[in-house]
Amino acid sequence: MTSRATARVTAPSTRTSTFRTSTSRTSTPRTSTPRTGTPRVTARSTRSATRSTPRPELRLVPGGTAARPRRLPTAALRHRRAPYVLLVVALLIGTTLGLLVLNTAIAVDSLKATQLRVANAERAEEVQRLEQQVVSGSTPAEIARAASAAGLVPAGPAAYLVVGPDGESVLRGTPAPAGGDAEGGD
Amino acid sequence: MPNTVRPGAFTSRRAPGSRRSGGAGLSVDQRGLRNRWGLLLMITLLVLVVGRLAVLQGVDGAAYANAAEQDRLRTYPIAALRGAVLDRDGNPFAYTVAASRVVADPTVVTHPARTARALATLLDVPEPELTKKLSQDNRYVVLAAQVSPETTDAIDELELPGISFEDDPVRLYPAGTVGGQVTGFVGRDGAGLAGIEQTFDEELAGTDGHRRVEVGSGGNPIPSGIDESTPATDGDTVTLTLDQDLQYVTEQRLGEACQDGATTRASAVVLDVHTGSVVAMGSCPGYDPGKYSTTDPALLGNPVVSDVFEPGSVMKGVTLSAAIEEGVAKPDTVLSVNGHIDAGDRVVTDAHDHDPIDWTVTGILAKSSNVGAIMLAREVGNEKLEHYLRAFGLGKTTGIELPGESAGILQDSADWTGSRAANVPIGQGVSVTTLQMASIYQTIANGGVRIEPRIVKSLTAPGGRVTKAPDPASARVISKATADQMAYMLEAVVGPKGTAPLGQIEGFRVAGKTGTAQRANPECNCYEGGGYVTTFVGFAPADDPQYVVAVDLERPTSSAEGGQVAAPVFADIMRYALTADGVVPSGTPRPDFVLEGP
Repeated sequence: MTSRATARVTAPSTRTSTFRTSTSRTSTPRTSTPRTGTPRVTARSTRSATRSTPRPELRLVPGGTAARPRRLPTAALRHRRAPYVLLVVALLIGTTLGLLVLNTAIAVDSLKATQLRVANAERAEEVQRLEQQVVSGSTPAEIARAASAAGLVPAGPAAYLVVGPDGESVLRGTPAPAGGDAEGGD
Repeated sequence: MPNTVRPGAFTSRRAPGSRRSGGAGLSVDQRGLRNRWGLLLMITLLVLVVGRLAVLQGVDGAAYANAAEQDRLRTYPIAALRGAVLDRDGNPFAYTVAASRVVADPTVVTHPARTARALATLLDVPEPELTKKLSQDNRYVVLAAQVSPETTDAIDELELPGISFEDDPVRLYPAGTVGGQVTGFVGRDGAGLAGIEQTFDEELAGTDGHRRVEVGSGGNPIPSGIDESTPATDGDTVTLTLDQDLQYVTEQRLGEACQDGATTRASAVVLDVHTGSVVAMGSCPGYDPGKYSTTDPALLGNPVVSDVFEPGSVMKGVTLSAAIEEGVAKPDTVLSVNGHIDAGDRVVTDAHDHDPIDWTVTGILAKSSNVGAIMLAREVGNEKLEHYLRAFGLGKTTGIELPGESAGILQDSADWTGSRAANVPIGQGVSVTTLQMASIYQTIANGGVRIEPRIVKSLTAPGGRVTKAPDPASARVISKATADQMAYMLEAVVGPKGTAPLGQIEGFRVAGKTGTAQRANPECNCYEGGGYVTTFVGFAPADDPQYVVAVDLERPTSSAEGGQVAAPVFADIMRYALTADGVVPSGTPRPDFVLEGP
């Protein structure tokens, strides 16, 4: 709608000033009520009017100059903003995904750690159980029981061969066979 | 344009045609009032809201944040493992394994009866008891203590609501009664109540730790949340100087002695001659520290260090040491010894009264003549005898690392009556512990140097750092020459003409002394009906002493002598100690002793 208005206004401006004036007159109330008209239209017509005949009521121009930057969101400008927006969006998505991945990794690690801790505890239990078995099997009473079950008997007095400095050996003590009857065992 | 408005009342600055104000019908004052009330209301509301916010955030903020954190934080106690008690080779007398306490929150338990039925067999607790506990109006009930990891795993698999576990390590005494009196035991709260467990309670206990974790709704730790733990410091391990095998043999032999029908208590201690360390120490009846709660409390002690008795003739070792050291006599000094001697208001006799015999001092010891010993003691004098008695460690504790040690009883010589002065040299009227008795003979065997007996070899920190126990105090009591002469004379006791040929060990030369003392009857505090305490203390090999073994048997109903009943126990224990340690048999024969004068 805006472009249509522009075309309508600019086309006659090249022909007559009268027409131009009427155009500007019709545009004046529009300018005073910005709600209904577009400032761009006003700017155009005002500029062309100034060029031909300066008129005091056309002082509304400053508003037009202020409105000039508003022409920026054209297609070209939108093209210039696009990379920025894309960058921000990409950053946002990237960050979100990164966080997601990190959180997942941490959660997985934590889960793994918990599992390993459980496995560790189980191993410790196993070790403890085995150690207990070894300890209870190696008490003197248990060894004595196992030894006699295997047919062993307490040793008698031992005799020693003592080698002197001159290489001569002397028998100390009297060797004697162990007493008792061997029972059980194989 | 309102045309019903009273003239002059319309002062609105609003443009014509604009929206009419709701207050158009009110006067300026009215509207001002309304505005003020409105403002006041708004301010009040705002103040309330902001104030509440300030209270929540500023005043109570920390508390709420804390409460929220506490809601997420779980603190798990980490129980420190109590250190082990080991023998000198690292065999455990006591050690701790991880176990759990099964606890319940009855408000969470949905079916008390069903839960009780499931747990009864696993926990070995009667079902009605569990049902009662689970139905309590309480949030914490202990169902069972010291439950093995296998059982807790089985309970865990049942996934019962409201049932949880806490660390509750269990103390095990794998050797049972072997070394039980030395090791002692810990109470339900884990505090040492007897023996080494009591003496080294602080070192063994360690320090508990805890772990604080921030958890999510499922109870799982939040990965990036708070997870701080103060690790538990496990207790030190106490390594004793005991040898578990010798300890076992000693206790077995004492057990046999206690089965002879007359012996009510038998104690023995084995010392290393050169270090004074205790290699075995035990009494019968003993006890299993793992079953202390079901044992007669009277038995939960260590009689070797806490029970005193009158040692009888073994005290003659001190009397004769004093006589030789003081130059009163030599081993071959001959005395004419009568069968009885006046002592204050009494008459002391030898074991069997006899006419005067010319005995050498060696003979007096070998025959264990009371009269001869009293004659020598009188030569030494009461004061000097007391000096030697105290130097040999009597009348004061040895300082061994065991609780409840008795100092024995030794009166000052100034207070000795005539009969007391005659009784002390022969071991009556003076009380000793088995350990003190062994220490006397360790001194003689060690060339006259007494080393205080000790039972702890070292402490090992959880990191492995070993702290050796401080060296015990040692002091020379008699000269080397006196000690050698004493060793020579003591060998005669075990000779064929001595009082204790049963103390001989094939292949080894043995020195020792018997004792048969009247036992004080605890019922009347007199000797009548008290029976006897028979003792034997000796060391071997006599030519190069390695071990001292002291044995005493309490026999209230028998009059058998030490040489008959205590010496064989001594021989069996000593034989094992020498054989197991690989001590080479003596290379020289026993000398011929001259017991009687020409």
